[in-house]
Amino acid sequence: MSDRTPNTGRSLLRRATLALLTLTLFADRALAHGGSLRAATPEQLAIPTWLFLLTGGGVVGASFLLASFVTNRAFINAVHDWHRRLAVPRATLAAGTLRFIGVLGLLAVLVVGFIGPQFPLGNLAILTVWVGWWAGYTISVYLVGNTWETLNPWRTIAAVLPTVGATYPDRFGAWPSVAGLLALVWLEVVSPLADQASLLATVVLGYTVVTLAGAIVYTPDKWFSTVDPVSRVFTYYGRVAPLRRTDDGLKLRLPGAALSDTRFVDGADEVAFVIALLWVTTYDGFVTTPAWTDLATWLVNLGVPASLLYPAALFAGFGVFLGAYRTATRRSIGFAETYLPAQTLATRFAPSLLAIAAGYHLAHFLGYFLSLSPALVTVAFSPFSPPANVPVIPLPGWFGGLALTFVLLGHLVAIWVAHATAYDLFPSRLQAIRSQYPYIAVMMFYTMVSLWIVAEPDLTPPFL
Amino acid sequence: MTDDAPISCPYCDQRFAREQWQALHLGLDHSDVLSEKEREAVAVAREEEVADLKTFRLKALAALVFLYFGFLFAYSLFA
Ligand SMILES: [Zn+2]
Repeated sequence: MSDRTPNTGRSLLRRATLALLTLTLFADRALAHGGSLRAATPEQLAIPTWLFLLTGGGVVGASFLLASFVTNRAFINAVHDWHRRLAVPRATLAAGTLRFIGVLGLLAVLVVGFIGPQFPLGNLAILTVWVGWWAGYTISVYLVGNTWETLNPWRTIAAVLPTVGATYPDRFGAWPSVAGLLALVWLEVVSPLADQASLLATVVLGYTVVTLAGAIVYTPDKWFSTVDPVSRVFTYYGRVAPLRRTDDGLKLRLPGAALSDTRFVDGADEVAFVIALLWVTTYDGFVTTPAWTDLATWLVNLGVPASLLYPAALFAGFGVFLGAYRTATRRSIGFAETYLPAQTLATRFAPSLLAIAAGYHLAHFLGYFLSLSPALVTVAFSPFSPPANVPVIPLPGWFGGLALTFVLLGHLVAIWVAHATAYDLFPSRLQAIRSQYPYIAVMMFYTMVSLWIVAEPDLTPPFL
Repeated sequence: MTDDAPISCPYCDQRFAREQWQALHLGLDHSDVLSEKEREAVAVAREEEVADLKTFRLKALAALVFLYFGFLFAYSLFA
């Protein structure tokens, strides 16, 4: 894993984020190319890879053991029920501003994407979508609260359009959003969406057409609450956040506390979405590993059509993740010797995984967002004639250490949420602890897989 | 340990594999309607639970110590 591999034409997003994580883990040399977005290849590890991976799994396991020392039900309930109500005046003006910003952003992406300058760092569409929205805005959703219902430009536009109000077939449930999320990520991986502005704008336009059509047919409320994968991502991420809007103002809770609420995730379809959200972050990195290149080359040599490889891997991996979660659930029932249905355990424990997903997202994107935000601001002021040297903040070397901390924090919150959920589900505290064993085992394995992906050199996915 | 027939809660439709868990459930969810006999069962079950937890804590502590020294050892050898 010491070969330096040149990167050509891969998504600037993935390269920058992986470079950040890689630097975090392997070297404390400064992120010298914070601006050029050139990927740093992994440096020689100071410790052997197996020990590095084992340490990650060990930390998760140790956190579980530590959490299991907290056995006071009253204390756990107090932590989870703690909340403050913040009376905010009905912020009509703020909501209007948010809606305006949303629609303006969508317009900017479409217009600048098609006719703006086509180099990635100088294109407002690319910077808005990846830096402003998917990095910065998403971070605000799980750190502060979900504002997507208001900001969502498609919702704002759909509100003024007529609706047919057809009945949505309930048996579909959240499955279309699962398929939609997988499809969006597949598109992001196989196409240079973060490098080619016009392609990005085309995809956004396509998404706009589908979304507005869906909202017209099934009403905006049904579409955005059930079918739209983007809205569902933000709804779920928003549950990690401390702030939530309720009928009487804002409700402040501890971060992650709302994840142990009952009926937040309901049904196998919604569990599948949570798993998909976790899987797609992994898939994104997995296809850049040498192992994937080897596997893909081997399969293509066997005669597997190259165009089938990426969707097949996407579905296979999703199946593996879902299978692992279902197996863990069945084992959990065995360990806890409970008569609760598997469905109850699966739906109650799934939300804890959202904290892990948020942790990985923050680790990937905070540095990316901070270093590129000056570029976003500069280009926003002159979208059609950006300066040749777009300003970027080089990140200090210690910043990389934060990324590992965020991954760890996500796991700690997840372990704590699962702990509290188990105490809620089982009358015996020992039963609650035992019910966690299979989930913790899966979590340790997942941590090791993620770290392994990060530790591998970042190759260009083949056959694209 | 576990009989084939589950133990049901007389107040709701939940079922349990052990008497102890049923008693703990009674204490948690139905504490206001319990008979004197049930109250005693709850108290006994809670004592047992605390004892079980004590044993578990010792094991968890041992596992933590093992992890800590295991990694300390591995790092001094391989890092
Ligand atoms: Zn009962």
